[in-house]
Amino acid sequence: MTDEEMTGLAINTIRTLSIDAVQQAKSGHPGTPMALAPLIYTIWNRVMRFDPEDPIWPNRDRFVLSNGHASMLLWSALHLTRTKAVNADYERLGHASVSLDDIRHFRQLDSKAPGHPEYHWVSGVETTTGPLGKALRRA
Amino acid sequence: MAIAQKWLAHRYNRPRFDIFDYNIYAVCGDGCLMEGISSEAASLAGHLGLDNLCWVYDNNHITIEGKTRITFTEDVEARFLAYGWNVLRVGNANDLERIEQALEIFRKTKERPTFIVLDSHIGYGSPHKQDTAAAHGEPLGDDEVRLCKRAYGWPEDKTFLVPDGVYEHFAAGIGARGAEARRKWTELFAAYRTEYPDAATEIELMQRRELPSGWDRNLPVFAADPKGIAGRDASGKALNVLAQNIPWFLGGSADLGPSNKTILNYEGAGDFQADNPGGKNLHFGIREHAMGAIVNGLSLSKLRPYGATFFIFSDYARPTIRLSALMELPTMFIFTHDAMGDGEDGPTHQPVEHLASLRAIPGLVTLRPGDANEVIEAYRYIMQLRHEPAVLVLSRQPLPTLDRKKYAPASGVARGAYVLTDAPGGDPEVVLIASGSEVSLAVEAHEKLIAEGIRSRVVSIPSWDIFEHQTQEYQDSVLPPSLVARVAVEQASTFGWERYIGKRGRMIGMKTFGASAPLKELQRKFGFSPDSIVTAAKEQVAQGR
Ligand SMILES: Cc1ncc(C[n+]2csc(CCOP(=O)(O)OP(=O)(O)O)c2C)c(N)n1
Repeated sequence: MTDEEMTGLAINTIRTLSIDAVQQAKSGHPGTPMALAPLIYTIWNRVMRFDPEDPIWPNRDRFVLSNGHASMLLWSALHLTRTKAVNADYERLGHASVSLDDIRHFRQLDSKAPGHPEYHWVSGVETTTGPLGKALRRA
Repeated sequence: MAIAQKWLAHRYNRPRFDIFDYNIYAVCGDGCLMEGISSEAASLAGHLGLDNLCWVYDNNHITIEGKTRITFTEDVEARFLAYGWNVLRVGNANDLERIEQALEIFRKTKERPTFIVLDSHIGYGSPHKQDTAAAHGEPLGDDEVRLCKRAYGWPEDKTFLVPDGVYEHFAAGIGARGAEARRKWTELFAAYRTEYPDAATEIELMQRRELPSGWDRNLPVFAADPKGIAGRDASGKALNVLAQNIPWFLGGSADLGPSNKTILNYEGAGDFQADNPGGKNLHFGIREHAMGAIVNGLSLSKLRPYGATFFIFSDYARPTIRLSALMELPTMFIFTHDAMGDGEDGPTHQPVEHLASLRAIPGLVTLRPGDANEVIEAYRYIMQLRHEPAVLVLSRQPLPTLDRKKYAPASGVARGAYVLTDAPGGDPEVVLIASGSEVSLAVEAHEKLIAEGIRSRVVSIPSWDIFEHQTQEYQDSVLPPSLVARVAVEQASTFGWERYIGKRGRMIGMKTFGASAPLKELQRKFGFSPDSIVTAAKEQVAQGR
């Protein structure tokens, strides 16, 4: 597979995970992830300095999804990059921040893929978003 | 986060040691840009020249009710140019090279934040829903899902498929780049620790949300004084001490610094500006909503921030305070002019329901100290929080400084409520419960009651939230369940006070808006005086007999 084909496959994985998660949950926001998958792919895979092994490394680049309703973009990114979890005492836990099973349970109780990005709940989320606009300033 | 990066870089970077040089990427939609806060934020970011900040705007012309043609036709690019941003446009959301190029231009742009307009198609690939509001917030439906997958060249009946090689592809991209960047940084930081051990220790403490040793040294203690000192003035002294003890403690006001007494005025504190990113006084301008969000962003970056305004305008920042609590961030909001102290300004400036509304936010610690020493103890408590935000509600006018030899020590603040004083000669017959400026009124009333042979108790209750986290035993020792003769006094909405006064108790509080008049007259009109407390207490005692 060429690099370009692989890139296309990666982007479409973000799209289809988003679509499937919303379909499974019977609620959510599919359209924006379908549109912005290439942007998220580019920022994450080509530009950002962020180590999935240590999502609280102090000098990481920060990514903020202000339109938090498109949360599946973030869950896909955290999952596909295999970002690791940390706890509230900033200890590294070694397991995935967002598993495929979490995505299967998008928007369900206790899933690490809730309806909107939740800072205190999912490692790798830089700030809670959902009320539109506010995260722009936190950024 | 962008302000935090600038501040951290200024304080901790050294020649050959770029310890903090990260960027912030934010993605936003039409909704974000319609909300007023985006304007407050963009205006300030432009003013501060935050070139570490990049917003990508998903320009898809669709919101929930349909096309943005019906609501949002301004020239967004012109708006951001006017804010002083570097504005770029990528005409096709699927054009990776152009997106990458725009992001590259962002990284090379100095002294201006970057705004990238990205033209996109919501629901891209969906034959029936692309470019419609139907793609926004509901499942596509099984048939449409299949058609989308067909359009992507995807196996139509596979769900949650991550094809072979995709994880590895990300591992080779962000994984490898991130690991390498972190490895280099870790090495750099090790060398930095050798050369600059104190700075390195600060960074490590900050990252764990801990405080440096001696963080509370020199916090003032105030001697008894019937004239006293305003809550805001005591607060200003505390802030100036703490900011010198804790290098990463910083903040400011939404243009009310001189009134809020939040200005750090010691030598070298400085003002945060584009050309002075090490300043500790933040000037948010008259942008309370953005202020709250910035305070959150600073805290997310592990600094210890505060924001301030008049208590009445806490409403403008309330959504961000709520998010502080939801995110479990140790932020601090300082709200002065907490009641009718702003008398002549009238009801537009007199908070009523604000305490009740903040007390209702889960996880938020709201404190309304009763005298200068309680202010200091409130700071001592707040600074030790690691995962909860706090609101400090302070008086504009001087409050008597209570004689702590006669009354219980102000350290009781750490328990939320405490017995300030009891009448001699047996169990109390009536309890007076007060916060803030009403504590000294209750104490005065108490002295009068004693003189008349009535055994009253005074409970100072600076914080419901903290009190409710104490053991039941402690709570019952302060407010014994058998003691039903109770009077509460607070210059705020009576809403919620039933929990402390019970069915039989009496609340002197606000059921209406205030009025424009000198404070003394307002206090008389609304019953905030020792005499009306005495009367209410006697009624309570009489009822019980
Ligand atoms: C402050 C606030 N008001 C309202 C909403 C409800 N809401 C969620 S998404 C949305 C529409 C957003 O449109 P846009 O930003 O264009 O997103 P897109 O349709 O492109 O996904 C609205 C009104 C919200 N989340 N926050």
